[in-house]
Amino acid sequence: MTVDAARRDWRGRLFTLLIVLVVSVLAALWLFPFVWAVVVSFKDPSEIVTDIWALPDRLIWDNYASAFDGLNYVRSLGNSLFVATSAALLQCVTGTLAAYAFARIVFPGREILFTLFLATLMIPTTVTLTANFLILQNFGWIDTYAALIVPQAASGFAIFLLRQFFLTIPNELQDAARMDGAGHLRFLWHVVVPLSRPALTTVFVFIFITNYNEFLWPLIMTSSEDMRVIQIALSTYTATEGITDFGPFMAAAVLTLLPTVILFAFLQRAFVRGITRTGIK
Amino acid sequence: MSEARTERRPRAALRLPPFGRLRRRIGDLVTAYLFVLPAAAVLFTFQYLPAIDIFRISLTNRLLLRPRWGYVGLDNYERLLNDGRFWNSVWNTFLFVVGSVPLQIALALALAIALAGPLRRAGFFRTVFFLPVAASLVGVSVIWEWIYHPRLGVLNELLGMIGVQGPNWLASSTWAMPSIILLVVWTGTGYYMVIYLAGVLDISKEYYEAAVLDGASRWQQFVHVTWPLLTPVTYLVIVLQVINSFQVFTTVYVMTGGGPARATEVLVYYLYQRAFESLEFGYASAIAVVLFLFLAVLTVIIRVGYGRTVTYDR
Repeated sequence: MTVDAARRDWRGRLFTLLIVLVVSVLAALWLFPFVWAVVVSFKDPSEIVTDIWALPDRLIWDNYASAFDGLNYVRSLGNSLFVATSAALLQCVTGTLAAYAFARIVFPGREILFTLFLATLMIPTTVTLTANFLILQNFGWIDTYAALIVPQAASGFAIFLLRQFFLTIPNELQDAARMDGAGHLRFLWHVVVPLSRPALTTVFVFIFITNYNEFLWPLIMTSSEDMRVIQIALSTYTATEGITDFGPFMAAAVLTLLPTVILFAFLQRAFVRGITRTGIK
Repeated sequence: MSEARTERRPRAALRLPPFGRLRRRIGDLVTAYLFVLPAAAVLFTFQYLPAIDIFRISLTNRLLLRPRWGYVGLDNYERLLNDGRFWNSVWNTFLFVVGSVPLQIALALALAIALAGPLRRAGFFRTVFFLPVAASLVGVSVIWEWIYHPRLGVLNELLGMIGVQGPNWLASSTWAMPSIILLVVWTGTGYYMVIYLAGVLDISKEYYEAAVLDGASRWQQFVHVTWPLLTPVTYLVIVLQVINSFQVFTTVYVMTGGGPARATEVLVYYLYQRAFESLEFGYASAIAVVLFLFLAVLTVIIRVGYGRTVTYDR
């Protein structure tokens, strides 16, 4: 090795070390709010005030008991899980059907329809709120589950993602199925759906997390306490209680964040694929 | 799409007699439209219909609780021009976008390059930076409210250690907006990092090998290989960022409620106030139309200014 190459090698290592160091510090900053929220959620209220950095002497579950009541956790979590699961399942169904038509059937009007479907991604949800409220009011759906679920039952995102996947299925399979006398529905159900499990998982996880975390839509479309999803319950709870009640507040935040964080931990790949394949959230 | 059509037609023609072919094509047509119908019904009713309807509502004096209303022409738009609160919200949104978008892009790109290179095998980091994206904005905002708390918050505690008296972040009209920007950078960067990461990993190693042979430094590699080849990705990231940033709402609602003294009242928050607090649907729809058109124009401008894609192929 020449002196020059050795020097370059040495500098390269130092550079890498520097990058690792900087990224590690950033990662610590990124993780800190989550970790500390959990720590504080187990602290006694007096401990929170007197010593910020102290770890709790013993785990105190009182904060969680308060948060549980304050959030009306069983009801609000149940609402959120029901809404998010329904929307995700419905999008898998409507998305699969539409994507199949766009990817595997040749029919007049296909290109224009697909463009129109895709163009919905350019309509910002915040812009259509007033008109959507009036539409749901006409249906008599304000403050019902239908208002939270039905408008989320289809999306350009799911259709686009599934279509991309369906296009990769070899034509030979479709021809073989046709020779065996199988129509589109049977081919879709027995061949396409089983092959597309990864894409369907991505759609499900993505739509579930998006709907579970949604705040503005349920804020506007529901009003009664029974219809509160967990995001509304959390914002109401932390806004009405005393300002310095951080123990219960952090417990409430942890209870709210837990389901998506767990789901994300298990299905991270599927979720990330949803972003990189489409560039859409 | 069209290549699939030209590809499949002759094959079908070989197998089926003319009559059967016609019947199959009609069958395909019916099946296709039945398959598309459920999604079309939802998208039409809750996306296209309202997107068109806001234009109509914006021409009325509709109040939510008053049954009688009429068309008032462009009155709402005229009122917008003289509405100081509207222009204040436009200005705040502008500050928010200028403060958060470049920071997120720079950070996301830097992290993506680090995670694609030296830290490629450390999936842990990817998870950490991405975690806030899967977390709910309300939950995260509640946690950060405590970080920003003037007496009990970690931020001022840290500043106190180096002898600095931190402000009351969210209650100060100077610091409330930067505080929200910082939180949004923390939540959003991971999302754009993932998009950039996919883009960086897509770049062929050969370009870097050729650059190294030519004696290019790391910085030169970035300027002449990575950055130009990421042009389409950067375009996508900018469009997504701008569209998302102009619609910021939840963090503002939870952390400051638009205050103090309307220092964080952004456009969508103002729209929400008009529509669902003072129930002026006509006026709120005019705000929505302006936002809609503005975003559409902006997307086109970014497209024109940034749409040239760079490839080093051929």
